[in-house]
Order: sequence, then C-alpha cells, then structure tokens
Amino acid sequence: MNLDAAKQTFLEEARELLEDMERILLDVEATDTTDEQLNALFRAMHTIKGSAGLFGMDEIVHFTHEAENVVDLLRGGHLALSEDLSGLLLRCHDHVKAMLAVVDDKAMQQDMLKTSLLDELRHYAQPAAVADSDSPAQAGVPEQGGLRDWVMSLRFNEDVLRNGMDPCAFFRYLRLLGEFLIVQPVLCRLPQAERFDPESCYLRFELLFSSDASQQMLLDVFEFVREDSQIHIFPVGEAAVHWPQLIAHADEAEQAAVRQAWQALGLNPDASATAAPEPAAPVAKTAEKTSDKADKPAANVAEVKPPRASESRFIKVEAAKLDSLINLIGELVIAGAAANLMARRSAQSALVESTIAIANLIEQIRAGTLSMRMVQIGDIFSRFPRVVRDVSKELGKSIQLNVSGADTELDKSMVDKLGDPLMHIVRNAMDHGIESSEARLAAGKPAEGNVWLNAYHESGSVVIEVADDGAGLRKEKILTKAVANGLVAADSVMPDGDIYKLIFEPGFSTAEQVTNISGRGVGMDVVRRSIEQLRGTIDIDSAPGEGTTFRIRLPLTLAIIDGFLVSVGNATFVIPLETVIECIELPPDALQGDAHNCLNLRGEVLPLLGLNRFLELGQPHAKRQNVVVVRYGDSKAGLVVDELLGEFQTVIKPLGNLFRHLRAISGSTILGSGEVALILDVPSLIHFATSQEAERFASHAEHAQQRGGHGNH
Amino acid sequence: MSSTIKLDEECTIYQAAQLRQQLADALMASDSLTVDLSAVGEMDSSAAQVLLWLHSEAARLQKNLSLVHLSAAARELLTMLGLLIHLPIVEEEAGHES
Amino acid sequence: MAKTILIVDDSASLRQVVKIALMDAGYDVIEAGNGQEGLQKLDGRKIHLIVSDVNMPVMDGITFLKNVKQHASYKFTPVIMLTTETSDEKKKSGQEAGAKAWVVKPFQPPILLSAISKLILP
Repeated sequence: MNLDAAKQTFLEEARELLEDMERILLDVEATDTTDEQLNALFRAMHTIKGSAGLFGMDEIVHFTHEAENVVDLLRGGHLALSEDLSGLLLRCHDHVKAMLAVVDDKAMQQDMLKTSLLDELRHYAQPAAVADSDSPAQAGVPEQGGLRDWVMSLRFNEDVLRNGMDPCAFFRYLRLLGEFLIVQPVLCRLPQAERFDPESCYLRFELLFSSDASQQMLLDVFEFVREDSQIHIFPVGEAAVHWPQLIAHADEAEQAAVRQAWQALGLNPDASATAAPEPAAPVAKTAEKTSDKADKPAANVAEVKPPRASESRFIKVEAAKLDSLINLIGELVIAGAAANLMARRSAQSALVESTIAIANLIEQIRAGTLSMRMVQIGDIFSRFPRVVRDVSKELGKSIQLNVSGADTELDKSMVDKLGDPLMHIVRNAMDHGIESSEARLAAGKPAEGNVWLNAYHESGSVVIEVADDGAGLRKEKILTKAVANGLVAADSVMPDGDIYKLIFEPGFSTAEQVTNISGRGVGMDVVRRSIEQLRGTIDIDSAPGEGTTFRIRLPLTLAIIDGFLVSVGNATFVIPLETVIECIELPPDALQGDAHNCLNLRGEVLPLLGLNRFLELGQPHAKRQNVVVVRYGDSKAGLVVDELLGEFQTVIKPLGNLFRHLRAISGSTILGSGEVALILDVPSLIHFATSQEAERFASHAEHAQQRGGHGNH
Repeated sequence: MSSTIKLDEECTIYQAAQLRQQLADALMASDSLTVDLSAVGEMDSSAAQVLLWLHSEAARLQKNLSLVHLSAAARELLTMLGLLIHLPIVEEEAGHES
Repeated sequence: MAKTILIVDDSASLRQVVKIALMDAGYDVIEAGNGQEGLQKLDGRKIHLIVSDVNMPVMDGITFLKNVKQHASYKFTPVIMLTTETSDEKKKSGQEAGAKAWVVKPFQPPILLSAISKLILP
C-alpha cells in the first residue's frame, strides 16, 4: 500500500460521496429533508475536505470548506433547503467533481477557485463567513530560542486518568523535547484511607525542564488537558513574577506544598517583587528562526521505520489487463477440455480424475475472473435522476423517476456501452411517453408522470426495463408512418410487438412536434443497433393510456459461455446452456408433415425447428433425434438435433465481418479436439421457429402445401 | 507476622481499583508487608499513585511497608515522576540514583 | 510490542493515509468504518488509543465514544476525536461525552501523529 493507492481510493471515495450528494439533492426536491439526508450532505463535503487535506489538495479543501459551512448551517436548521440553494449545491457538486478530475494540475485548481460559486456560498453562510478559513493546521509559528530552562507547574485535574490522559505520557513526550532537571511531585492532595479513589489523579508536579522548544510548543504538549487542569510553563527567570497567578486557585496546603517544591527546585517564589524578569522574549526573538524545528518530535517519530505493506480493500486494475487475463482463461478452458478428452481416450482413470480436478479449478478461476468484470448497473442508473430532473424542467412536465435493481451486476464493458442507449430511451419516454400535466389530468391520471428504471437477472440474462405511465404507443400512427415510409406493405397484418418495433427502424419518428430532447428521428435505430452489438435484444410492451415498457435483455458476459454441445449431421454446434430448459427425445412422428412442425409439450404448443433441414445439412444419421427445448425471454422453441453431446465451456470467438449477416449463428468456438463448432444464435432461431409457425397457422387453410416450412421439400 | 505480595505484570488504571483492594487487604492482614515489583511490565501513574497511597496508609496504621525488586518498567516510571524517594524502596544492590 | 491504535472513520482513504503514517511511526493500526464497526473491534484485544471521526454513518463518533466509556475493558482508553472547526455544537456534546482530545480536520499526518505521541508513544 502506498500513498498513490490511497489517493486512488480517495478519488473513488470522493466520487461515491458526490454521487450520494447528487442523489440526495435530487431526492429532497420532491420530499422533505430528513436529518439523515442533511447529515449525508454534510458528510460528503466534510469527508472530501478532510481527505483532500491529507493529500495537500488545498484548493479542494478551500472550496469544500465553504460548501461545508453552508451545509452545516442547513444541518443545524439555520438554513432551509430552497430550490435555489439545492441548485447551488448541485453546481458545487459539479465543481468539486471537476476539481477532482484535475487533482494533479495545481494551476488549474487555483484557477477553479476563482469561481462565483464561492461568493454565492458565502452569501448563504454570511454569519459564519467572518471566520478565516485558512488552514487550521498552521499553528502559530513558535518563537524560537536556544536551549533554556523552564519551570513547569503541572497541576492535573482529577479526571485526567479516567480520560485516558496519563501524566506519565506527557512526561514521556516531554523527554523528546528536552531534559528533566528536577522533578518535584506534590503529593498533598492524596487522600487517606477510603477517600482515595484509585482512578482519580492526585499527582501534581513542579519541575525544571531544559529545552530549546518554545513556550507555546511546551504548552501544546498539554493541549488536551489544559482546559481542565492548571498548567503553567515559564522561563526560570520569569517564574517568580507569575507566582501569584500560579498559586491563585490553590488551597493553603497546596500553596505550602508548591512553595516547598519550588524551594527544592532552587526557586524563590517570594522574589517576585524584587527580581526583574530576564528579558527573555526579545532575546529569543532575535535568535535565528528555525521554525521547521517545530515539527521535530513528530518528524522524528515519523521517520523511524520504513513503510510496511498492509492489506488494502481495493485494487484498481487496467481493464485491458483483465481482458487479456480473461482471454487466456478462455484458452485455458479449451486446453483443459482438450486434456480431458485425451485423458478419456487414454482410459487411465487417474489421469481422467486429475484433468477433472483441473477443470474444476479452471471453472472457479473463470467464474472469479468474470466476476471481477462485473459492476453494478447503478453506476449508469445514478446519472438519471439528474437527467430526469433537468429534462422535465425543460419540458415543463412533472416527472418522477423510480429506480430499482440498481445493484444488479453486469459486465463492465456492457455498462460502458449501455449508458447512451438507455439515455435515449429515457428521454424518449419523457418526451413522447409522458403526456403534459393537463393531458394527464384530462385522462384522469395524476398530473405527475412516472418513469421507472428497473434491472434484474433472469435465466442467464440481465433485463433492464424502462417504463413510463404515459399515453402508450399509438399502433395506427406507427403503422401509417411505416407504410408512408415504405417500411411495410399497406395491408400488412402484424402482431403488436412487431408494430412497436418499427420505431427502431432508421429514420422513424412519430412525434408531431420535434423537440430538442428527442424526436429528431435519430436515436431509436441507434439504440437497437447498440443493444444488438451487445448480443442483446429489445422488446416493447405498450398499452394505450397506460404506458410503455422497453425491455432490454442482455447476456451476462461477452467472453465465455457455458455451452451445450449437440451434433447435427457431421457438424457440432454449441447452444448457450443458459437458454436450454430441457432435452427430450423426438417423438417418432413429430417432424413427418409440415403441419406437425410443433410438439405438444405437456399441453403447451412448442414450435419445432429441425436443424438438419433448416441448416441444410442433409438427412439425419441417427435413427432417433432429440429436441433441445430452448427459451429466450418469453418465447420457447424446440431445436431438433441428432445427438446430445453434453455441456461444454465455450470461449466465444466472434465471427468475421464476412459472416456478420448470418442470423442463426452468433459465433464460433474451438473444441478440445481442435474442431471448430458454431455457436447457435438461439434468439433468432426461436424467432424463426415461432414466425414460421405463426405464418403457417395464418395461411394454413389456403396454402398448406406451399408455405409449409423453410426446408420442407 | 509479615507477608509478601507480588504485583502482576500489568498495573494500569484498569487494575487500579483491584490493586488498591488487594494491597489494602494484605496490609490489614500483616504487620509488615513486602511488595514485589519484579513482574511489573506495564505500569502507569495510577499504579504509582496506589503505591504512594499504600505508603501513607502504612504510616497511618503503623505498619512496615517495603517495595522490592523493582522491574525496569517500574523503575523507569517512578524515576521519571520523581517518586523514588517518596516510596519505601529497599534496594538489595547499589540503587540506581536519579 | 507495538502499541495498537484503532482508527474509526468512514473515509477509507483517510484511514489508509493515517494508517501508513502511524505504521511508519511504529504503531499497529486497526481500522473501522464507523462507530458500530469500531465497537466490534473492542473484542478484548489491547487497544492503546482510539482515533475517531465524529460524523459517520450508522453510528457517529459521539455515540461510539459514549459506548467506549461504558466498556469495562476500554473505558480509560484515550480517544482523539477528529472534527472540523465548523462543528462547535458537536464538539460540545463530545466534551460532555468525555472527549478531551481533538484534532481539527483537515490535518496533515504529522499533526495527528504528534497529538497521538502526547498520549502514547509507539
């Protein structure tokens, strides 16, 4: 662990605190502030200030200090969180964020202090602004003299021991600053018998001390007990002058005891009237200033030992390193599978067992490495409150954002690419989905619209939903426009879901009034493309007057999948295991006629797709075929294959550009034997199977023979 | 009748109340008490104070008290606080003078 | 044996920097992210000094301090509270709870180190 790592931690932590701050500021606009929220606001500025100070980021300290002052007043109830103030604090949030972005650029930071935000903050903090905000760490520069003798009168409060302030600790510290000449304990306060409380401190001391430290430094040794105790430190020559002041609060017995102690120190308390004080102070001032000596004891202490290694909670790793590690693990998975295959062929059971053990370990490493890439989707969700707030202001609509499932994890690389498409959908929902307040009231809905962001895991996918309770999509309008744009035939009959999907076609926009938020017709097609690049899909549910839900479904990760190996003809294919529900034997007559291209699976109609024919691989070798029941989203289909070969870990190798357009294949992989296997694109196969089935169903009556199925000769 | 009591390794404020009780009981039970400080590894002002109190109690009750075998830790503390000459320390060898 | 210091602060970076400085100075350091976690560290091990922030989530420093003062095995442990100059009220309630030693945030590590050395040396 070193300071750079700590600085990284600081930046990370500051980022989180700022996110909290932003979330709270956006939250409280809608509701009343709670103490906890105000405390958290305070803590954000306070903690950043505190830590920035440690790293010498004085400009950030300066700025956050001013903000902290204001938040502290808020917290104390001296200020109310008006819209204006919360706006100001949001801008301060931005400013601190910007300053943190350039922490290494001192000049830039200095420049950033020349902001009117500070004046605005001071305006709020007026009563408190008088106090100088300059660094509290800068203790008064001690007047420095040479070595001299000091009289110390240390009359501790009875509670010091109970407070953990042991007089002997101060003695030990003093030894770092100089030398004890004579120590005279004053014991007259020690009670007898039962009155003695062993946890109270009765010990007091009068002593002579030789040191080159300043009076202030010596007094500072007792900074934690001075308030409650009577601590007096004077140069020897001045001591007698201060005698009356020093003894003022002592009872007679103590006066006598102290007097006696002073005599033992060679001091004469009664000399005050006659002895002129030694002109110590001016002499001391002329002495060479060595203010850096002031830190001597601490610095000494600090430099004794080399830094030790110790555990830290986070390590930042370059994403590229992790990627190459994941790649290697992919290769390892393949190599492990190959070794296992060889072992099986050799039929040596010990060898087989050890390759299985290795495979298990590889699996754990794989899972662990992949999980390192997983981040919470909340990272992108957290941008939205602000966007919704700003956009709804701009649109003059009242819209509430509801976020759930922010802790759902997905691959970091996807998170990065998901921000923009999501932003588009959310803006679209606000702009076109949610009606104006008047329209909502007229429709009998609350004036305030809602947008929901929701994420969850479902059968190996991450699902992200953006929903609104607006007017819903207008089917007819979309169709009309699509027909006008030549996207569909005028008389086409389509399922609702497909009609809705038309809005993802390039150049499609139904908005009558094009605003600057969305509605420029760019966007939705880009959204779909971005999602598809992530091997995801997007669906739309909509009900007129009730709202619209965009549902994005993404794979958990892009690099490795658990595959299920099947053979079709001479070829081997991989089906992503997460999509496989079950495998059954194909009933003998199921694929006989095209009218039977579906299966009755426990009362459910399951469309079947014969891969031999669909992929044009010729007639099946096997006497018996199998059905792999796969599912994607809400749709299911049965893929008819020859043989089931079992589970297999698969590193996805993307297809070259040449094969990009292939609908049924999503990638390739190398088997342990060195053979290439293609990875089936289950969503498009299901789509094909169901649409084929629907098509057949629709036209069965008239064209039963002609339209029977893709590969039905 | 005389007795010897040996103090524990740790003599700090956490043990002060117990230490006081232990020593007070031992003092009551004998005419001459010897306190062995050889095992004392950690000692603070409160323990020193208990010893000072014990000393004054012994005087009040007219009993003999002697502190023997000061460990390095005990000697360091009592020396630093200037308390050596205020306690009935019996040195077997030539004492370490402060 | 090195003296052990418990540092209670919700800022991990602050803890890290303080830990580096204190360990360099020869102390052993254990950490806690808030008062609640701090109390969990009071599990019988020897702790010579506690440095605690005031404003923390879950359990603040003042409540933590009050609990320490109730704890038979730790009630006499010196506690240094970290505070800002802006929180006078907090300071007052802290003093009532028995906090005597204060170090003002933000601070440079040597400042804290010298405050600690006044109460315990490594």
